[in-house]
Formats: sequence, C-alpha cells, structure tokens
Amino acid sequence: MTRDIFCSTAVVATTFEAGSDPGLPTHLLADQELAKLERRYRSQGAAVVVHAFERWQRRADCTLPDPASRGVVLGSATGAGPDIEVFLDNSISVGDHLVNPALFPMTVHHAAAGIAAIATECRGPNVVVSAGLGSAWSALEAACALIHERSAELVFVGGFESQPLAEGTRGSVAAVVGLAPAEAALGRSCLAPLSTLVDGNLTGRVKSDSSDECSGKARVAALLDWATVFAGGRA
Amino acid sequence: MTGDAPVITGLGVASPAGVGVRPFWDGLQGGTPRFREVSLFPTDDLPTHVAGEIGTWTPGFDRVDTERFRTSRTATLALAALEEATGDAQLDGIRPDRLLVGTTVGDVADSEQELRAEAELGNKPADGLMVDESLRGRLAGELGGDVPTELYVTACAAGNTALIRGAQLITSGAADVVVCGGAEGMSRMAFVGFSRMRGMARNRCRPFSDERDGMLLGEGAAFLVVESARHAAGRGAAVRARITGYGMTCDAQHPAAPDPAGSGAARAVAAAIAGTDPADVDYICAHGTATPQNDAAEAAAYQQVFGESRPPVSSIKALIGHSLGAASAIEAVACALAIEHQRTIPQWELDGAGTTLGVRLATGTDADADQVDLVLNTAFAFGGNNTCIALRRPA
Repeated sequence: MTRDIFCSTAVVATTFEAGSDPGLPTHLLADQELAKLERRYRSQGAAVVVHAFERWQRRADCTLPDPASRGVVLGSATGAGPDIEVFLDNSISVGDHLVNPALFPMTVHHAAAGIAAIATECRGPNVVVSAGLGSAWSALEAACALIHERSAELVFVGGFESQPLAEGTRGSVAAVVGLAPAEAALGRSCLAPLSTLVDGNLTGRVKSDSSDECSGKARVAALLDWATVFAGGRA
Repeated sequence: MTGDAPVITGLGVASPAGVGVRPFWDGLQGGTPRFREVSLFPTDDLPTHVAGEIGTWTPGFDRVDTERFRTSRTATLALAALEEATGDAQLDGIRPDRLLVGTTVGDVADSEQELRAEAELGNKPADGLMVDESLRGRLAGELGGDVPTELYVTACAAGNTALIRGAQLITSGAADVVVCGGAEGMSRMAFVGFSRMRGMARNRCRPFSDERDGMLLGEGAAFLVVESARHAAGRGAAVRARITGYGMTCDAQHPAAPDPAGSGAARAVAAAIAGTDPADVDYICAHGTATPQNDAAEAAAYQQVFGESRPPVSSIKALIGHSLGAASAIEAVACALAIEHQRTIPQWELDGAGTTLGVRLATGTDADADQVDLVLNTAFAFGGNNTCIALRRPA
C-alpha cells in the first residue's frame, strides 16, 4: 500500500571557496568544519556528504528512527572520480607496489555514502545511483520505493558532485533531504508532503542515455537545481 | 501498469566459466578453475599474477563481438550478456521500461591506461573523472536507445542492488519489464588496490576453506530480464524463477572491512526470507570471496539466521574469481540455473581441507536438498553494504 511521504528542506554543503564558486550563495561556501572533514577522509566527496548529513541532523533536532530503519540513497554522475584520480596519482608517484592501501576503499563510487552512514548511524539500505544529470532524481525515486515498501522509516536522499577549478583545485557539493512516512522523523526540517513539491511521475525524469552535456559545471548545477526544489526558503 | 510479482524470463551471462548460459552452467558443474596469467596488463610488480580473464580460451567466447573490445571491454562483455538475456526472454518488439546496470569500476577500467599515461605527463581529465563515460549510452543503444538507464554503483553488491531495484519497479507497478544486471572489465586499479590491501591470494581461491588466503579477481557481465508475472503470462513467456524477497542493509562500521559479527548481513538475509521458515532455504549462492574476514563474517551471519537448519552453501568465485560489480548478477544467473536444473553448485577448491566456520558446504548432489525450490543470492561490499535476494521455482 502506498504511504504518504514527507520531505525535509534541503541541506547543501560545499567546498567551494569564495571567488571560485559556480554562483553559489555565500552562506553555502566552505567552512572550517568541512575543512576538518576533508583532512580526515582525504576525500572532498566524502567530506561534503558527511557535512550535509551532520548539518541535516543538527537542523532537524529530533529523535531519529532506529539506525536499522535509516536509509541512504544518493545520486552522482561524478562518483568517486576525484578519489580515483588521487589513487592513480599516488600509484604513479610511489609505484603501484607501494600505493597507499587506505586510498583504495575511497575509489568505489559509493564510498561517500558508506562513510556518511558510519558518521550518522544509518544501518538501513545504502544505495548510490548514477544517471548523468538526472542522478539525484533517480535517487529520489529509489528512496521513495524504500519508504513505500517499509524498508526504511527515514531516508537521506540527494547527491554529490564535483568539478575541476583553476590551477588543479576542485570544488565539491552535496545536497541532502530527508524523506519519511511520519513528519516527526524530520523534526524541525520537515517541509511538506513530497507530492506537493514534485509531481508523481518521477520515472519520467530518469534519462535514457548519456548524451547530456555532463561537464563538471553542469553536474554541480544540476544538483543545485534539484536542491532548490526542496529549499523551502532556506536551503 | 499495476504492481505485480516479479519473475525472471531471460538470462544472459559472460564469465570466465563460459560465455552463454549453457557453457556457464557446464563450467560451474565441471569444477575447473578458470584462472590464468593476466594478459591485459603487467603484474610482475605485484604478488598475484593470475585472474579470471575472459578470452579465446573461454568456452562460448565466439558469442563475444571482439571488434567491440577496441572501444570498451566492459561494454563488450555487457553487450554479449545483454543480447543473450533479451533473446532468451524473446523480447522481440517489447521495449523494456528500464535498464539497470551494476558496476564498480565501470568505464574507468577501459580508460585506465590512457589516464595513467596522461597523469604521468601531469595532465588531468578536463572535466574530471566521472562514473560513466559511455557505458550507459552504449547499453541503452542496444535496446533501441530510448530506454531509461541507470548505473548502480555499490561495488561488490552492485548486481544485486540493480536486481532489487528492478524488483521494486515491477512490484510498485512502475514497470512491466526491466533488464537488470552487472558488468565489470578487468582493471589494474582493482588488481593493485586489493593487492595492497593484502586481500589477494596467490594462485587459488578457496572460499570457506580453513586454508583460504584471499580472493582472485575476475571479470564478466550478466543480465536478467525481470518482468511482472501478469505481463509474462500475457505473452506466454517462460518463467525461469520468481523473485520473492530481498534485503539491503549497511553495517555502518568500517569503510572496507565487514562487521565480524555479521549482524548487518544477517538482517539482509532475514529480510529476504521474511515470513518464510529459514529451514525452507535449499541453497545459498554465497558472496564467499575467500578472504579470511569476509567468509568468517558471512558464516556468522548464516549462523544467526539459520541456526542448526543450515542450508548448503557455495561460492562460485572458487572457479571464476570476483568480478566485483558484475559478481552478484552472474551469481543470480547461477541461482536461476540451480532452480532450473534442480541442482546445487558444489563448493569447489576444497581439496580435502575442512572448514571450521560452521557452514554446510554444498556438494552438488541429491544429499544437499530433495528439491531446489528456494535459493538465496548474497552479496556484500565495501562500506558494509549487504544484499540478499530470494529466488523461488516457478509455481
């Protein structure tokens, strides 16, 4: 039986520094907390995702469902691409036989989702889907399925993307909203029933091919556009 | 479209045991490990030199369009399996509603050599490396070009994740026909990474054996056509198996290592057979990588779920290695074939070595089960991702 699904406001985290951002509002720019996460995980992607999840929890300020009922579904066209580049760079600089083994688990495209699950005790389903610029929409559709079939009582859904910037630097963004069948699971972040924010035909948003212009800038912009749907005036 | 029970009406596979369902099944029953010196890239600086590589030596290799290898090994293997699956389901003229593909490395395996060469010159991809360079488009093109296509990138559980997502789409009524599977070409990055994590064996892959010392890599692809039971019946399609349950959980404990207690894996298995007596499970096609940590955690999970009613278990990675994102899709095909042939798959490569893990290893004989009606396919991944799918014999 179909369940009602409530949706929270979006939280966006980004490593973009002032002056290098792709038109982000200043309140979305990198902060010291994020810098610490980036040093800890040695991955911008993991850092922004964890930062978004933790900020979401602080903002919601509520008792969450049991960890086994908390799911994660993220979409990403970038995936672990930047971390694969780091791994290959390390391989080239020290030799494959000496590459840092701690870098390897970060090369799987769902590494950031897994680390966010650890940081926020999400022991339910954990999924990462890639469908070009529609990745976050694919994630939203999959997250709704988890709620409907009662595999989760709260799903963190959204995406993470990255784009190369000048002089070998990189900017990364994560956006996340909460979905739940009960408003209480979303606490102060509860925005509205999902059906009032997006039309019911999420399936129609899943793309058939990769012909979209999928540059780093376009990936970041597509994710921010997705988050805007759930801004509620304070993304 | 209205929600209905998902059934499997088509199978296709490309694996080191065989390209094509028939040689694949014969290979699993024959018990010959398919490991050989890797020819795709040098391994002389690494402790392991063998893997389950697909080539002219693989039974059924003539099904592979080798011209396609020039542009993408991953897509070539995927297309061989995809063509077989859609042909097996006799989908002629029926456009699938969705194509779902599990992969770990994906297209990166195809461009790794060029990436390394450019990186040595200090050059980076202009727009940064991303998940998908062309795989989605190439596979969607095989189905006519306008089939919505998604990559599920949950590493070693990716094939199962795609299959679960397909079952969800059928059950919810969002789709009538979904093609699900996984694809993975051999990658030196994975070879190096697992070597450096000390996860690789030297020459043999011995799942669940007390003498197991690590995994060996493989490659391949598999696809399953998943259809609503009503839609399949309406067109008279033969049903190979029914999908009757699934579970997805996350350990949320460690980025790479499994939870030694196997609790998250046990929850996934329990969810897949919810409402069923665990004693009814006839066979488990296990994740069974043959690393000391994985197999111990997996055995602990089975102990939690099944207690003394231990079903026969085996891992086909003993013969074909671990093909990462493709592995659980290939193993799902093996599960459907076990049901079709009413026969479990033996645990090969024991050579008399025992197991103290408490699992009951499959023998491939009638002693395992009177009937093979309910089969589980398990897959676990980095990040503590746990998946399990339950397949049943058609009614």
